[in-house]
Amino acid sequence: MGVRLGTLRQREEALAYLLVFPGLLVVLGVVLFPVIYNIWMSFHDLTLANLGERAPFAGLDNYLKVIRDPDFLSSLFITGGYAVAAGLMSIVVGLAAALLLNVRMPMRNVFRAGFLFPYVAPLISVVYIWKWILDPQAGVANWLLMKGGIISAPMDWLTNSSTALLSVILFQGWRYFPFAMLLILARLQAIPTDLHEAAAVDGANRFQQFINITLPELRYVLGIVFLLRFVWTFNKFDDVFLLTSGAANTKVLPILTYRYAIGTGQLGVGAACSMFLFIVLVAFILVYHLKVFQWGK
Amino acid sequence: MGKVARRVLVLVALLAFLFVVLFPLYWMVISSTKSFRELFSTTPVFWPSTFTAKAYKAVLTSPGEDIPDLLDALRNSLMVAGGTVFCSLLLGTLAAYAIARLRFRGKALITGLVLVVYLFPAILLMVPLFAMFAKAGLHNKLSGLIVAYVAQTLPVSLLMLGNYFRSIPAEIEDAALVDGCSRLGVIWRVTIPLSVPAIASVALYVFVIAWNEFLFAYILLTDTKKFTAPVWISYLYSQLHTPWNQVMAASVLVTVPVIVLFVWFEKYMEQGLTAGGVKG
Repeated sequence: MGVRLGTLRQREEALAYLLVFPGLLVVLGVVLFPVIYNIWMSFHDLTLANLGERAPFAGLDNYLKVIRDPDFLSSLFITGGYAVAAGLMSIVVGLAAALLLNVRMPMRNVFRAGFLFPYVAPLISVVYIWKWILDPQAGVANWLLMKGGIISAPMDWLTNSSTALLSVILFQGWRYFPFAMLLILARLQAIPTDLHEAAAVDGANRFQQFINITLPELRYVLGIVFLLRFVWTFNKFDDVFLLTSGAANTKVLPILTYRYAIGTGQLGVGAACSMFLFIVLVAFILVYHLKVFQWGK
Repeated sequence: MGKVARRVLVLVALLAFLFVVLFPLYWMVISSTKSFRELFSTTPVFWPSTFTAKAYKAVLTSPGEDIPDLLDALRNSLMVAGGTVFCSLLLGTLAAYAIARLRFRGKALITGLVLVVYLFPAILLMVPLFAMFAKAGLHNKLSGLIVAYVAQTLPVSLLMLGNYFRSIPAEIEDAALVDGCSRLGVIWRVTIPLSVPAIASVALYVFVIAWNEFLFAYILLTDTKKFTAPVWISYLYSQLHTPWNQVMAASVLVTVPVIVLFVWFEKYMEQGLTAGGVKG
């Protein structure tokens, strides 16, 4: 009997490997191998021109080249700063939307579905809509703001170095708040109503209830949303690339990576540049693992 | 504050919110149907005096010299998104079943790997994939793009399908096994039919991700005939004088399928959004 059980177990295991294998192969080939290849590239003088040959070992040259780039340090600060700002932005807007949607209301689901539009629509469409709205000559934004007396002359939102990054952050708040909204709303609806009822009986007003009951209950989900938004924004390429192409103080690290690797064909330098993104990601995953999973317990 | 007053206040806030969220959508549609004069008038026109389909006709038939029409790009996008959905579902279902139901060594390692890949941003793969695809001659191949998208969407497929498979009572499968069904037979005849909602969620999620994707399509496709719709639009935009009404018309045409899917299958779609996000 024991033997038969053993073989059954072994057959199950063999089948499991067979089922997992194709998916694993794709992940290993298109995610894990590239990551290792990227590390290798960052230490070799690889360019588009010598891609077919043996690339010479370059030591830390690629990294030094990135660090000595006058754009690098400012890029690092810009990327970090805007990832924090855009993460907070999407959380604040998402929290407001979730609190509004948590009130029992006819047509609530229609509002909720409408709010998801920025998040599900193709990036390419929403980027160009905003570029058109913010167009310095014929854009409706300038007209509205001038009508409202907020600005006195048309502004060049996406190419002026004092407003471009702000515009990107506002765009990302608009586009990504639904992600925060969905997660926060799910948590809000799981808060037992008797907590609020008990507080109301004790004479707590709505604001006090929000500060003392709702916010503590949301702490965990807000933490997760912020960390996810931060790391995804930090590594975001296409939003900035399409909105400003990295001009006007918006040259974030992913754009710098793109410029090296694809713009000028210096694959090794590009790989080294992306390693800085990689380090931030690894640090993030560690924090995520150590901290966030502990809160959840 | 009275209950009624409070609800009215919330409703007003919701309406204002919705206006800001959806105004760009409205502006896109309106701009795509304006005549050139109204498109560029100094006072913006909020409701055109006449609607014209000229921009749509232009993007669909003759957008300009050396630009293929948008229909080709939409067809490419459809092929890539469809192929990605098929492969991601196939590989995802098999692996998710094994992880949810079978005992094997290395399972923890694989689930850990899935989490890491899930968190992995596309930008970190940009340089190595660009180099690898150039070496392998996979530039300008839609199949290459599908492989890249499958790898990126597989973790979410796995997580969503695996969670669902676990919710199916094991007794049902055991009964089929006792009746002489093989494991693969059980997956095909029992698990998959019972998991239609989860499969629909994953399919929608993966389709939208692949349909919307820009970065890899942009760096891997250089032949205008192979452009997916997002790359095509960025190419149209980069013309010397941006034809804004055409860019808006093309944007409407790429957005409509997503919105239709979303409105029809909202429930399924939201599951994907919370599980995976659009990772960006």
